Formats: sequence, C-alpha cells, structure tokens
Amino acid sequence: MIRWSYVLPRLAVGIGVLSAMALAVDPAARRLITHFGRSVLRAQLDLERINASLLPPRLTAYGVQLAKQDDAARNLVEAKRIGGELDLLSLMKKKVVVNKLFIDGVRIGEAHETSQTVGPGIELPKIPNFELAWLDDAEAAFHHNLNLDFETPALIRHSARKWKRTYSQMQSQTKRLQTAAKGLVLESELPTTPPSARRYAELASEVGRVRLQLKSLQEELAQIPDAVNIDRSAIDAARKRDLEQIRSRLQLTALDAKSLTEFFLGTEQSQMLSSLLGWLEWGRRYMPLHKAGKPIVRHRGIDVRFASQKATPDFLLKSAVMRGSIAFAGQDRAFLGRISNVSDKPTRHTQPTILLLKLVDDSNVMVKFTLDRTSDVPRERILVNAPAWQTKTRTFGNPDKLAIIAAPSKLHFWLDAEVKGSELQGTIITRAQDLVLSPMVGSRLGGSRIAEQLQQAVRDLHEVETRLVLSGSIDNPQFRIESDFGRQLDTVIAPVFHNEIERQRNELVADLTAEIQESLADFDQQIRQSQMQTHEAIMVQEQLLAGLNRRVIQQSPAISNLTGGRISLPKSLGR
Amino acid sequence: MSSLILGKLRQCSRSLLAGDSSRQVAFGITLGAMAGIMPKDNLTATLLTMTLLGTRCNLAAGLVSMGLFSIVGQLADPLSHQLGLLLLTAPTLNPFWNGLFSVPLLPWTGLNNTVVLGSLLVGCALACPVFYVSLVLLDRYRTIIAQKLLEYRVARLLLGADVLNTWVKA
Repeated sequence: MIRWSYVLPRLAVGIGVLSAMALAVDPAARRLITHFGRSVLRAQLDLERINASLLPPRLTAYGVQLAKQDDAARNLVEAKRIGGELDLLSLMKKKVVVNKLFIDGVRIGEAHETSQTVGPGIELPKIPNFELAWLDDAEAAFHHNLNLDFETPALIRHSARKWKRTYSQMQSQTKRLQTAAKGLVLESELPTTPPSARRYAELASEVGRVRLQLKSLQEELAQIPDAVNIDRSAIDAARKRDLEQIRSRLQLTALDAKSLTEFFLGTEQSQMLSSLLGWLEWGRRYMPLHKAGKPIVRHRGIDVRFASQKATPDFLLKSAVMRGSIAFAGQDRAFLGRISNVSDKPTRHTQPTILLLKLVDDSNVMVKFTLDRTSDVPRERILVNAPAWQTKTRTFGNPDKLAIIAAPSKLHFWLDAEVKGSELQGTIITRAQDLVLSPMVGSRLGGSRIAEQLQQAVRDLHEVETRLVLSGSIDNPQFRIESDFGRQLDTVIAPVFHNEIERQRNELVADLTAEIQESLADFDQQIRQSQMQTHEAIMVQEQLLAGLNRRVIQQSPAISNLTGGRISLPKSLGR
Repeated sequence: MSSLILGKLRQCSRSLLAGDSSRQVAFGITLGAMAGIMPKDNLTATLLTMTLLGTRCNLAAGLVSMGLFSIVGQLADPLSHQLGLLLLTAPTLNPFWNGLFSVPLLPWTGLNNTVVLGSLLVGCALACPVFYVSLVLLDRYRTIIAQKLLEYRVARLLLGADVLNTWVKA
C-alpha cells in the first residue's frame, strides 16, 4: 500500500523543483549572462531571450545587443541569434567550454534600443588642427589685405599746395606794385605851373624804388623752377620707395612640401589614427590583463584553487563563426567572421584571442585583430588589408582657405599596428589611383580665379600614396606622414600663387605709376601756368614803369636847367 | 506573511505530532542541520537536501531544522572558514585535493571553498550529537508536548481534524 503522507510532500517538492528549473533556467541564464557579460566586456549588453537546455547543455541567445558604455544609443555589435553547445565533460569540471559558436545576423553600428548607461566611456584622442602658415602669409600678401600707405601721392599734393601758395603770394605782391605804379603815372600827369624840380626828383626816386622791387620779384620768379626741380627729385625718391615697398610686401616665402603634405593629409590621417587608437584602447579596456594567482573571494569563505583547476580557464570559447553586416561609410556591408580563443584566463589558455573579418563584396577587406593576454605584457595587433576600397568624396585641406577635393575613387588601404604594453608602432598606407582632383580656394585667397588656375595645374595628378608611420605610446601617440602629395602639389600651387602675387604686384605698380604721373602732370601744368601768369603780370608793370621812366628822363634836362644843376635824377632812371 | 508563519507552525506541530517514529524525526533534524549549516550554492548542499527529500525521514522536521541551522551556520562561518582553510592549504593534502577536483562533477561540490568544507565537517561532527540528543528529547518530551499543544485551540486548528483523529486513535 502506498504511504501517501510520505509520497505526496516529496512529489510536490520534486514537481516544484522541476517546474522552477523549467521556468527559471532561461530567465536565470539570461540574467547571469547579461551580468557576467557586462562586467567582463565593460559594455552595455542586452539579451532579448535565452533558450537553455541541460541535456545536452546548449544555449541559444536571441536579440543580443552590445553597446559602448558612454554611447548606449549606438550598438557596437548586435546579433539576431547566438547559439552553441557546451562541452559536457568540461561542464562537469565546472568549466564552461564552447567548442563552436554560431552567430547569425550580426550587425555593427546600429541604433541601440535601450538607453541605459553603465559607466564612463572611452575618450578618443583629439585630432590636431593642421594649418599652413604659408597660406596665411599668402593671404596677407594679397594687396587687398595689405593696407599699403604710399608716400608719393601725398608728397605731390603737398608740393602742389606749397607752390600754389608761393605763386599766390607773388601775384599779390605784383598787384600791390601795379597799384603803386599806376599811382605814380597819375601823379606824373598832373599839370603843374611852374614845373617843380623837387617833385620830379621825388617821382623819379619812387619809380626807381618800385622798379627795384619788381626786379627782385622777377629774380625770385626765375628761381622757382630750380626749387620745383628739387621737389620733383624728392617725389621721384618717394616713388622709388613706394615701389620698393610694393616689391617687399607683395612676395611669398618658399613653400615647404612637408608642411603642405601635413596640411592636406594631416586631418584625414589623424582621423584614421584616432579611430585605430580607439579600437586599440577598446581592446585594452574590454580585455584587461587578468592577474593570475589571486584567490577568489566570495560572500562566504574563499575558493582555494588547485593545480588541476588552474590548468585551464573557467570559460573558453574555442571558435565562433559569425555572419552579418557592418554599417560602414553609410553602407551596410555583408561580412563573414571568426573569433577564436576567447577565455577569461588567457594566461592559462596560452593562445591569443583572434578576430578575423572579411567583407563579402568587391572591396575584399580583411581584418585581423589579435588580443594577446597570454603574458604579463598585453599586446594588440590590428592588420587591415583593403585592396579595392571605394571611397566617397574626400576633402584634403581646409575648404575655407585651400582644399583639394578628390572625387570618389578606389583606394588600397593597408594597416598594420601593434601595441606592446604601452608602446605603439605601426604603419598605415593608403594608395589612391585614378584620382580626379579639383581645388577649392577661399575668397580671401583669390577664390574661383585661383581655383581655375590650380585646376589646370592638378589636371595631371592622379595618384597619391600616403604612409603614416606610428610610434610613441598608446597614451601619447606620435606619427609621421610620408607622402609625395605635398611635393607634387608644391610644384603646382607655389607657381600659381607666385604668379598671382606677381600679377597683383604689377597691377599695383601700374596703378601707382599712373596715379603719380597724372598728379605730376597736373602739378607741372599748375607750375607752368602760375609761372607764366606771374611773369606776364611783372612784365606789364615793367613796361608801364619803363614808359614812366622815359617821360621823367625827357623832362629831366629842363628841370636841371631850372635848378642850376642842384637837383639831378637818380641814375637808375637812366637804365 | 501570516500564512507563512502558520505554515511553519503547522510543520513544527506535525513534526512532533505526526505518525513518524522518533528516529525518523531525529534523522530529519540531523540531515536538516547538516544541509542548513553550509552555503547552499553548491552540489554538496543540494545532495544533502536531496537526501533529506529522498529518505524516509521526517521532512517537516528536516526543513525546520535546515532553517534554524542556516542561522547557526552563518554564525559559525569564522570557525568553518578556519577549519576549511587549514585542510585545503595543508601541503600533505594537496595531492589528494588535486586528484579530487580533477574528477568530473566534484568541482561543483564547492568543497574547495573554505566555508563549505569547514561547515560540512562541522555538520558531520554535529550529526551524531544532534541525532542522539534529538532522539532522547523526542522520546522524553514528545507525548508531553503533544498533549500540551492539543490543549490549545490553535494547535488543533493548525493540525486539522484528520491529524487530530489520527493522533487520538494512536
């Protein structure tokens, strides 16, 4: 007979345990893997659901999303399904070993569906600003930026004003003498009876004085052309100085090909470097160096490890094959991949983790990422070979000043970089062929006019090879850009800018010379005209006084007779 | 909460009043003590619990004992840890432990944990005293306690009519 009081409680407990296992294994596994994954990967890990079975031990995860901690809105990796079978014997030894894992529907770089942020993120190195001082010099050398102050026009204006004032004074003086002469004429024509000898003598003396003043004025007028010539010499000297100023200010220094290479390629190359360092840093942070030998401290007691337990890692993924797509350069690209030797104790497994990716398209891109934590010195190596990478439009340089726009073309990209400890070394080579280049020039550097000239010059430039040599440390990376791009462009750009400067210089010299000539012509005409007018006015007075003089001389013998020779006329009247 | 308390009280009453023999009750208490004193996240604790469930011992007494000795186990952790550490780090025992933990399934027992090993040994050491003390106490006081309990309406309510009838017939 069945003893139900014994059977029923045990049956109930047994059913409860089995039900709990059936219902709780999947959520528990999901929770466990999410927690474990977040702490190991230091990334935001989300799983939609998990299917787990104990016999055989198999695990399939659906809707896996892995995001950066600091950018949870953007997934690093997501997969529709990850499934694999655990090694039973290893599991019985409390080791999780997955021989082969299949990852389907992998997508890289998609929007994340949750917005949780777990912790601080990775800071990428800042991209330096590559400037070309030569361009600033060129911009400053363009005449509209120079604010040149010429001496010659001001000097001509000053001389013109000065001589105008001098002639004006001389003409005023002539008028004053004319008034005096006319007064003397009127006085000489007054009828007097009997004729006064004294009066004639005074008149003659007055005429002589006025004529002397007139003569002095004439001499002064005769000296003016010499003084004007001195001014003209000064103007000529100023003109020479102005032209020298134009020549010295409107000129360019020699263009350095290395600086030009860095200006055009620096930004793109350092973006590549920044991206590379980001991945290396990511690898370093997400797979830190595990220190062996530390006892595992638990809530109650400590776990003592023995040699048999230390021989192999607690978790080992021998190989995972993946298939999916990666969002790159605005396009979804299908890829196949394999990751091997992922373990929680790489020092025990003694084999580095290797990630291999191959894009399934015409570009034939292959990526090999090695994360070696098998020794005390962590080592990462990235090898990328993209023999036929189709680029989008590339912009070299600074579009506000000077840039070269490269139309979409094929590019061979090769990257081999390694970090040992903190020491960084590597090379990135890009070789572009069949390039179609078009220059872009900022308005302050001549704009489309210079761009057109450069377009003619870069027409035959179709190939660019760049080598970025890396050194230094991962925290303080150093790089050197080696390329003939700068040298090729140097021979193109420098002559165009030199020609432009030459053209502007000639234009400016011509403008200044024309302005000076025009001013000088006006000046000469003004001098000539004033000289002539003053001379004529003096001559009129001279004739008037000469006539008066003759009349006084004619009357002088009669006067001498009347005075008995006591009063005689001044000798100057005789001339 | 009230149902939980009542359930425990019912289990306790049953352990004293149900039809199992005193040996079965004492055995249940002993197994419960051994399972309760050690951490539960290992195969050793699971095996002890399964033994409790799978043998003809008094389940109610075993579960109550497990609950009580869980508290005792926490208090005895320093002692268990020292004992476990002494054995696990003894150089002479190193080959033994190495061989033991290379056997499949044994790593899941958690015996490489100082508290698990120590509490298992403490539990083993306590097993005989707990069994015999329980047996003596049950033989001496079971009838008296049962009679006293039944004087209370609460106990009768807890046990229910069937159990009461069984006991009265006995």
